[in-house]
Amino acid sequence: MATDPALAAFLALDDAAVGAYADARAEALGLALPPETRAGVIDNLALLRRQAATFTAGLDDSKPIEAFEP
Amino acid sequence: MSAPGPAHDFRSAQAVAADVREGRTTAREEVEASLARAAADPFNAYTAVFAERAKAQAEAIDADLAAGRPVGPLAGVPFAVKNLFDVEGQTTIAGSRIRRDAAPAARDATAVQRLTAAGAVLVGALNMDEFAYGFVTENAHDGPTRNPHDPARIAGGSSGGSAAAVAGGLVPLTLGSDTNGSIRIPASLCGVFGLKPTLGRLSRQGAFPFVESLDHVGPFARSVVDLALAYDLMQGPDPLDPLCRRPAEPAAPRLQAIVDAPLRVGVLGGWFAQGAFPEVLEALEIVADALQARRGVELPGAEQARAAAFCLTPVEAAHLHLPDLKVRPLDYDPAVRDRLLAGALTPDAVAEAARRYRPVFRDAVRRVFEDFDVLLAPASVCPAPGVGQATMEMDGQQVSVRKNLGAYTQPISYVGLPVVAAPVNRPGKLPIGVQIIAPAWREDLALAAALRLERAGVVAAHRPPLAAHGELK
Repeated sequence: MATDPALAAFLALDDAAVGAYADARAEALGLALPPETRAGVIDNLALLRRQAATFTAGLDDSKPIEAFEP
Repeated sequence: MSAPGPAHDFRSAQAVAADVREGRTTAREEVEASLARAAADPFNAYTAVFAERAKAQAEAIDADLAAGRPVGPLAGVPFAVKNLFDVEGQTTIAGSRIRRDAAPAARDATAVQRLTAAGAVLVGALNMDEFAYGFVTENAHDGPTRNPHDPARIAGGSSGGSAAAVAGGLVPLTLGSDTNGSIRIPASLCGVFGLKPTLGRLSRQGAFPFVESLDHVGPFARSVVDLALAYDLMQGPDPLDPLCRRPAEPAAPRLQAIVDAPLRVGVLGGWFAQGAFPEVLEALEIVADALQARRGVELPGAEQARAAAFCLTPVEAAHLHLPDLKVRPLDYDPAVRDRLLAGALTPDAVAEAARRYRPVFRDAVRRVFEDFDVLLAPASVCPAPGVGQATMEMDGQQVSVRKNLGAYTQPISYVGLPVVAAPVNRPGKLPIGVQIIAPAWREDLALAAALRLERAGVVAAHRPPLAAHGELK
């Protein structure tokens, strides 16, 4: 279960809410989404949300992230 | 020896080097022939040719040979690099429009320097997916690279130009990069050998970054021995790449000793068998039989690892691109732009979770390797799709080609393991490659398995049909 509020909010989105989320995030970042990009961006963002849900469950986010070595 | 032909040359790098060293040809002749092939490139593999530099270096090599001075093991061998590698005096475009007005590179990338120091002669730069984000090399600015085995099909990506140039007989050795599969996928689709070394083994200095925590560089070649030699020549620590600290551990000298030693080989099942086209699984079976492999080995968490790599990629990459995404998003390749913008909008906590899962999966993989020396898996889910083909069928569903070609490569690069992509010997059929995966820092094991298969005729870089080349002599 994600305890990070931003991650939890992202994972809790349903596909219908991704567009509004994208617009709010873009405004917060000062990133203007050109109209011709919006549909593609929303599709990709929804896919990222679904993919994120597959590996974040069960992760312990209370410990520091280790410097990765193969 | 076969003289360098104007349109096609399928000698190995070592054969070219021997021809030059032993006086059957000169470096100048080899380089001029390679430049002529680049100028006539029927695959759209090249995006730039460095004729003056190449001729000057070739003349210096010939002068050294004439004077009896020692030359490097690749003296006179033409090579080319994915256009994300820095080349002194040239702009590093990384497949983009945005970087075409960037300042020229002040020095060669470390990998280019090291091959050049060994006598290899850089002749040009090669096409790629924009900023290395893709598996297709259908670049919106430079056009698609065509597969030498069927020009109606893609070369794979993102190092598509690097694979096509070797497969199409334009040059015997190239460099590419692999973040999620960008060496292994095009090597598989074009029918050549590719090596993605352990993360941190080869310096990435001077290679334009895509996802720094996942980026690797490595060679493409037509034989395992060429692959091993090029890899060895690029090894060694580089203070300019903080991940590249390890002393060189040359593999080529060890191969003869270990090529026939017993190997414990497993074939990955589960995630690595889902959705694969039947001919991909048939090709894998041929390799598994030859190595007497145990089937159905599970890599626990592979699907999650793939998802983590899939998410980490655009989020980390978007940090690098955010300034340009803010002011000139429409100058990006649309296929890349929308993914980077989505990455920018994704909370950083997703990338942090992906980094957190990485050691979890690595430890699971290490436990599997307690019972195996190498593991086998398909390199791609299918043979090369068509140019312009947006979707393909996987498990009865239509899915995006761009987003799914790397399904089997992403979990492996996520934990930085070394992999040889080896082309299964299927004359007359479209190329299919297998991944030969070794534990971290054991490239020698993957190369030894590949060499054993090559000697048995099970894997081979075979010539594409002549019709793909147009006029041949």
